[in-house]
Amino acid sequence: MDPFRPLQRRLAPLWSHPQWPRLRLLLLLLHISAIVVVACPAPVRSPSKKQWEKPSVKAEIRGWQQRLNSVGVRIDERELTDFAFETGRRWSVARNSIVMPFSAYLRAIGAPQGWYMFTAPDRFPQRFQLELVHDDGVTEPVFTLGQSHERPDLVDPAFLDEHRVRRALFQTSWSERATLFQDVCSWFERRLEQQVPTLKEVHCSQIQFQVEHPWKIEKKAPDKNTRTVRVVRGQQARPSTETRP
Amino acid sequence: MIPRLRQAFERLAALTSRTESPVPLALFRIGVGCSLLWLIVPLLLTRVGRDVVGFAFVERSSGGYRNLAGSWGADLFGGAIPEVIFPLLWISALCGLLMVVGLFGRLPVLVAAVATRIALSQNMDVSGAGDALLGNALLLLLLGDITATLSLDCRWRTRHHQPSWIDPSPIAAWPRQLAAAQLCIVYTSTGVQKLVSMAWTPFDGFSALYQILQSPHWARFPHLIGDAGGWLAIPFSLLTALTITWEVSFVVVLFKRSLRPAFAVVGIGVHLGILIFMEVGIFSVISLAFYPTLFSQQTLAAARRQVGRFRSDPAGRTHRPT
Repeated sequence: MDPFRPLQRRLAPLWSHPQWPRLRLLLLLLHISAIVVVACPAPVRSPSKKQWEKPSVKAEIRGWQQRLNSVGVRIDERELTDFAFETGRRWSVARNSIVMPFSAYLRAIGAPQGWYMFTAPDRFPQRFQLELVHDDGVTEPVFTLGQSHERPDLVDPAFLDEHRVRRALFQTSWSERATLFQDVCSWFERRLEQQVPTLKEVHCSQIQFQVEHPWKIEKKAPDKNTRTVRVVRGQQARPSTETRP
Repeated sequence: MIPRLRQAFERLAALTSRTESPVPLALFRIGVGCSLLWLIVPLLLTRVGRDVVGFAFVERSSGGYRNLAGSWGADLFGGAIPEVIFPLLWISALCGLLMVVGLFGRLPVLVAAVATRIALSQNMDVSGAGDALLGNALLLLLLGDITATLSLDCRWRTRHHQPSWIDPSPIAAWPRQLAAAQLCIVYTSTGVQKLVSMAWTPFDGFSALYQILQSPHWARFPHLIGDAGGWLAIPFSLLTALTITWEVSFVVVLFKRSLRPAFAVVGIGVHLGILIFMEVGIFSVISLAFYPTLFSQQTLAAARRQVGRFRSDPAGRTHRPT
């Protein structure tokens, strides 16, 4: 029942060749080298310094700076940021030149090796919030990710629990592509348009908050509305200039 | 120097020429098939799953949330539209089922690798480590005789003399060894990367998991920490310490086979924890599918010897003959 068996039988003389174990080992060593090299960490994934201005990254740098100061290394936050960015950038340039042929090979065979999993906690995550505005101007909340589902009939909580959807919403808060947030908001507008006849506008917001630390008793930063997108029914999404508390 | 290198090369060549029981690789095949079904079936059979496909994997003009980069695979069939993506997912699910029952050898693996990759790589923004590990697992399965035992193929092959689901005839060991090496690289690489963050170190009190589990994007119960009123700080700090130590040192199992059962037990606990507390797709399930590849009969025998030695002398003293 295995269609590969006839092929295997035809290739049997190759497998029994005395040099085959050595050739196979060479191929295996090449493959393992490729996965080791490509799995090697890339400290700076984006050439832009914008990501380093995010409060989560700044909090991380501040933590290391305080730790270094406590052991007698005098360095301020800005210097440490510049040092870390520059070292990371150089490392990435060197790494990319080595990795390029290997990653092309791994991409071709469908074996990607980027194992970036929770490298650091997001100390200032952003909750995606969706609101709709009716014809009469009344604003109604639909959901706030990870917090409330005011209209489960419009957006199923199970849909928001799906990791692909969460990943997309995470990207809207973390990615450098500003249009991503507008794209997601437009998608919700198109969806709500079919369900709410009185829909006039859709508002999507990113509400940034600070997570609790298990050991530090610190004054938490207040929740902050970092971005809002307004989508007027049937129109293109556009960033809103209004700021709400 | 060169003669020693040559010797090492010959030793390695002999090591990769070994044969062994086909059971671990068959279990790996069954695990990967189950992971594939775990991933695809909800996308096909539930309303929410179909909504997710429509949201994430199809072009904006067909109902998706963004314009996709496109790929030659999908373009070949007409682009990232529901009429292309859903049939590809059905094919993947069917292949997953064939892998579980062990029918048609490596053919369903090859088809699943191509169909799943085309369907789920349309939007890399929503793709994670689980998808990457699945791609690797399917590639590794293509290298070995995966339906030699515990399969319908085996039953069919042995139908003339004594029909059986089990055939103990040995198969090449290197595909299993390569899969075990891949798992070590995944864990060690992710562990080493975590060391850039203070939260994974004692400098910040191993606070990582406590903070990550408040994320609205990844935590299954984002209110859990806040509602618990602080008493989870110690348990989650201990779990953070355990996780990072286990990940960074996982590479040890490549050289010290007798430690594999202990590392596997911790790994099962870590992945069950991820499954319960986090929403990260199939990463845990597909990782666990790799675990049978850590064990050959030799490894289990070494572990049994270690346990026996520990039982006879719990202090771990070695008795040298005088």
